[in-house]
Amino acid sequence: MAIVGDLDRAQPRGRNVPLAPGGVLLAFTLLSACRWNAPEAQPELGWLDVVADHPEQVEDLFRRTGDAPWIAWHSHRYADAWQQLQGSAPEAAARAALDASLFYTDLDRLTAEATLTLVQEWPDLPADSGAWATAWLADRRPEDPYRARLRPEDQALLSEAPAGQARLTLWREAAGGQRTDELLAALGQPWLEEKAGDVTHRWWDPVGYAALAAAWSQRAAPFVDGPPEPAPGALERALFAPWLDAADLAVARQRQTPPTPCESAWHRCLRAPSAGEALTADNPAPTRLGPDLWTRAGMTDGEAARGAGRRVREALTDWSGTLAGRPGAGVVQDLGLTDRLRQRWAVDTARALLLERRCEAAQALLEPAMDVTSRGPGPANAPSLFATLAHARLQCGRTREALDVLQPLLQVHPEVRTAYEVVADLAVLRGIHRLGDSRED
Amino acid sequence: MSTRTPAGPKPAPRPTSTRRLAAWSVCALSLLAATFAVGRPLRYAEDRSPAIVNPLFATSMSEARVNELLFEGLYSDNLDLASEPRLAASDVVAPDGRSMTIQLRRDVTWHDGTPFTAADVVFTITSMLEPRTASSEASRVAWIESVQSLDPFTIALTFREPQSSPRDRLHFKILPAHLFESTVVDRSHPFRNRPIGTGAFQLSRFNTDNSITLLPYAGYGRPNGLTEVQMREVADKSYQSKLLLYGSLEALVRVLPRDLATLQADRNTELYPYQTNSWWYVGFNLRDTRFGDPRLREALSLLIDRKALMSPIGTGDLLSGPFVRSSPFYNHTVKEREPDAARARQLLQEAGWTWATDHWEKNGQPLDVRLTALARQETAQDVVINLQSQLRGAGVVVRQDFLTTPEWKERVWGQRDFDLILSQWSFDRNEDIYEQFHSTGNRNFVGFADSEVDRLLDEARTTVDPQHKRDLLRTAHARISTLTPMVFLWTLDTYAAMNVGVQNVTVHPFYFFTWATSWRLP
Repeated sequence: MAIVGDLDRAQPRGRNVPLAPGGVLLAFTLLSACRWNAPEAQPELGWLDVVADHPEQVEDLFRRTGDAPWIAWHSHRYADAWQQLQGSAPEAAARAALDASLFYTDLDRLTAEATLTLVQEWPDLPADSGAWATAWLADRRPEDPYRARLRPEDQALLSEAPAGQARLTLWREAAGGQRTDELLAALGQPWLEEKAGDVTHRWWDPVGYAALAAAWSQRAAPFVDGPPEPAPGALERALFAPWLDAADLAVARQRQTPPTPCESAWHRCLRAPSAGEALTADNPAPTRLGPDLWTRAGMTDGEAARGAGRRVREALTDWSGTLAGRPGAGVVQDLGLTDRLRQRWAVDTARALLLERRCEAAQALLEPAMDVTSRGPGPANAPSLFATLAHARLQCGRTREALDVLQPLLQVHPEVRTAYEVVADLAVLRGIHRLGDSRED
Repeated sequence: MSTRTPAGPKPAPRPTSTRRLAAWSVCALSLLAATFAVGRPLRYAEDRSPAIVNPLFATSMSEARVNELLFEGLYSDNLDLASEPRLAASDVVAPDGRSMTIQLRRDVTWHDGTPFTAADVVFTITSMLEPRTASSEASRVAWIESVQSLDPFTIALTFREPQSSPRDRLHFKILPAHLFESTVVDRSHPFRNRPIGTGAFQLSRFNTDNSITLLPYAGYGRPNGLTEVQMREVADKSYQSKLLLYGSLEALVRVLPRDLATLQADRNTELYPYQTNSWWYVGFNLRDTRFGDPRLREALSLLIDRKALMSPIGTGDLLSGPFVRSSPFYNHTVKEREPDAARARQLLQEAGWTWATDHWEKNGQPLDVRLTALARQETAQDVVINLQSQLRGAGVVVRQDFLTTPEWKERVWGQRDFDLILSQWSFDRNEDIYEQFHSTGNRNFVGFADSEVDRLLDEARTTVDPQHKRDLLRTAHARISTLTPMVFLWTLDTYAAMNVGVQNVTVHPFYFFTWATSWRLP
């Protein structure tokens, strides 16, 4: 590892910490103990420059919070990070909650679109099927095209009568941030099963992820509702974030939309953009490293998006070239912070592209952002990368290929089963009349 | 009007003056296009060169890919993977779904300039259905009862069963009737060396180094962003990657996982997902009485350490059945087999095998198997050598049997002459395993026959309920896994790689080159 040379030079005097994956946190601590006088570089990438030039601030943060939550966050285990940071660093905990909220928002959008497409494309779906209630819950548009097709027993969903009470209570409480574990377990099972002749049809919860996203948004409130101008250089507010400094964050916060009242037709409040979504609705650093570098304006097609992704990669690689001799260089490199920032930018931008239904551009941005040497979600690949890529493929008609990225996600997040099964149904439906082709290779 | 006749004469020829004029025009245009073409050739690597360039007999992915450049079907996938007309212009499906009339495009010519007509469609379907042709594609038209040309640009199809969406089944490649003497076509027909299609590219030459050069077909009538395509045979995967990095190739269709990190880090290379739902297997020849005993199959399966076999060639998923793990049909309740030497020993003893010093034997005969694999495929050689070592250490004598591609087609596809085979199947997104595991399937080399699996596969082909189909195939997965007609090995993580100079790339998830005309290589 590149870090070794730096460690040798630095003659570290840091405390001994358990070795994190890849020796990352050992490097963190040891390097942060270095105090030689490195020349001050002109900050260009906000908190990344802080890490590069002042690794002692990282050590201070870790000393205060412990290493474990940051290991969890670095591995994209947001719930663990949130749990462990609540006492020592509440704003950091809330930011981890924000990331969790975004992930479930990604799954919600994917699942809702797959559910509606499935119901629309499935010919001869029986009138007495619970599929219509599933579609009604997934739809969440004011015009409510599925309401008229609800079965009498599903009218309970409208009135929250006893038939749907348990489920609704679970969702509502989950949205209030209380019972997410139960909801996670529920997403591993179909929410409706019904016999159709010899076949058992299974329908999957169309709002469970939205409820989870809402719950995690609630947990993010201490950060979202915090002071409007965070102090620059406060790593608790910035480490691993898509925004680079206080100015970026202030711009992002201005885009927040007020929460939607949920008193009546409660499930519709889940439609409102989550706080996390509002914060990352656009690019984090529009002017850093080059004009128009981060903007999605020119991503008119897949080729343009792929080119934009390449330019960002090259700009960040060039920025990494400035790290030589800076005290935190090894930390930046070993934590893969530039690749992480690039991936985060790609995912955030792809979210916006998907809302505009520019799936080719989203795919072209997301595919190269994945570290292909890491097979599933983990330090190198965020779960939202898999979820947004699956959504992009779904929008582009690559339904079967969406499963290729949901499967590794499912192995780490069992609650992804709901999304996986809905997309799987759609993939099978879309090829139902085809004779398959097979070849040796 | 001509009707389908199983071995009838070739359809009536078209007026010769028109054909000659068209042929001269197209040849002149092609020459002109080649002379003034600007842009670099797209050079891509295959592990093995196609053994035959005739869609009637295509069995490998390398053949399917080159056929995609040369030939067209009546319909093809659009970018959203929905069927769109290619050689067809329009169609009408009867309300009862039992027949269909297709108007053909009138502006299409074969690469030799001959106009494309209904006679070509009639010939192709008839040839595929003709038992004496023994087309590897026969099952793709088995649902068609008859085909007629109503006029030179109209065909009528009738179906054995009602069809909801027959366009989805009419993607097979169409061949030029005028180049065949009969609908009984032999694999050795000279067409294999002079393939003529209607596709965007035409054959320029087969080169002495097994490479193939294709040039844009000027009569194609649609824009083409590539000026030349070269298929190069490079058996060594590592060498393929180096050639791409050094700029001696523009594309690799399959990159091994071990080379991914290097290629992803290279500024001049882009990776594109190209998961063809492929899985590796060791198949037992069930016609061999020894392998008729499920205890022997199970025992051999338990003696194989698949993780150790896979690790030299890359990362992937171990499998418990005939689908990749991301498949809707993969049955996740069926656990992947772990090596278990003690259980294997017990099974062998129950099956009458005894341990003799350093090997197993029965009736004085050692447990001696021939493991057949393709030569010139570096990854397969690695696996064979390691597998031989594993089984030999467990008392099974394994003899290597590497075949050239023509030998493979002859002995494995033709004569089913093997004890064990090591190979891999790739599936399009429908992951239809009927041909591999139905007792009537024409890719069922191992001779697997189980009435319950037949029933499940038959029903899965006919149901229009996606959840029912999924349940049926997950059940088939479990049953096939239990019966162990083969040892299911793994699926590898695979990507295609291209030089960044190749622009506007969209890779078809199976045929790769379906949209190659929109690629650009300035």
